[in-house]
Amino acid sequence: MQVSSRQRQFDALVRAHNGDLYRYAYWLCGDAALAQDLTQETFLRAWRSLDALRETDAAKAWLITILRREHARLYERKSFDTTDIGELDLDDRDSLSPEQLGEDSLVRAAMLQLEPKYREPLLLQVLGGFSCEEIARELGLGAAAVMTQLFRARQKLKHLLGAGRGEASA
Amino acid sequence: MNCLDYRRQLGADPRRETPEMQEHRRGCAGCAAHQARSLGFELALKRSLQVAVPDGLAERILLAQATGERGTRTRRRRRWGWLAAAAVLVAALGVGLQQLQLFAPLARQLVVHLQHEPEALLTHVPLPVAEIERPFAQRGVVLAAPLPAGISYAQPCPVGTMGSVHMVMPEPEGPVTVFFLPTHRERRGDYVDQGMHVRAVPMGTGTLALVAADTRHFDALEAGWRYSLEGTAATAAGAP
Ligand SMILES: [Zn+2]
Ligand SMILES: [Zn+2]
Repeated sequence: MQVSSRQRQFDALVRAHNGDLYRYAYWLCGDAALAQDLTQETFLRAWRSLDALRETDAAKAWLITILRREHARLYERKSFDTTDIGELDLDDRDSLSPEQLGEDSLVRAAMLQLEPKYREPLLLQVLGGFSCEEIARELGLGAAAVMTQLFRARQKLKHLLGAGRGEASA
Repeated sequence: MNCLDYRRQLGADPRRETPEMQEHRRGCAGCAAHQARSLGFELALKRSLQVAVPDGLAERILLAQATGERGTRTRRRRRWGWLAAAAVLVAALGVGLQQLQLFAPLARQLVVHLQHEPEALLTHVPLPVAEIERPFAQRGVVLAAPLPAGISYAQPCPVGTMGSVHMVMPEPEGPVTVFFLPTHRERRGDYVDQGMHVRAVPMGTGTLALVAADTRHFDALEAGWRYSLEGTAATAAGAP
């Protein structure tokens, strides 16, 4: 009994990208349970349109596009039903040292305070590893505009962190 | 290239330095120091974004795909029936491990939940009322009276297998975390877990839990929340 090559392709896709997609989703919505839902829904959509994917190189960008769209949909839908996603909160942040946890949580909180128009290009660059040109394509913006947003995103982040810490050097 | 150009380009993409940028940095101590700081910041940022991925996420996705597919393509079912079976097995294993945590006493679960969500305690700014009402509505809770003032954090969080609304009230002496578990009934009790004081009180349809470094605000908060959730007078907290 053999698995279809389509199934095999999907399997590989899920295993290779679920972590990146989950993290991207988490930083889009700031909610672990919602991020799991978003990630799952993204892959289910990807499965249904798997034939649209030609080269595996493009898979991550493709998945992120689906994810971003799914996220937008979720927020257009006014009342999102969360009644049965309440089971899993499987963070293991306690594997970090207290200092790391302290610093990370500051950066994390600041990240969630960034406006989406700054947060998204930064996520695409730092988490996604995309170039400015690729980010511009993904967001439907000019490369120069993306450069400006990325610059401002970091400035704002540093500002937020400076304000949070009081005396730290930005 | 001048310093401003250099820093602008570096701020947009710190990992990429063009030959012109490199040339400028080599001749400019200020920008060289700036680059070192930027790269340090980049490293910290990248690390912070690496939140833990939930265990078994890939298996759950594959399971959802397999079971969804079974509904739509009955003819092909047999072909990958094994996959669904394998995924079920993996998922069951995952659940078994989680249950150790899921059925820990409530106080422990709340304290652990709080430790895993440190960002909840970082802001002191009161949220707009609508943003606090939303998680209550999501959890199907109808409020009897206006909410207490000053809530700075409100999320519809899972606590073990229970749904909760997880909130923070920043008191002058330190934050008090408030959980409302609308479908979970817990006996009244005061606990100390890992240095945190926890009070659980049956309230409304479920349980209100308060978590803080000390208990000084617990009585007042309990009364205030009873008013919001039950609409009864805020004087006799805990009285019949
Ligand atoms: Zn310079
Ligand atoms: Zn929470």
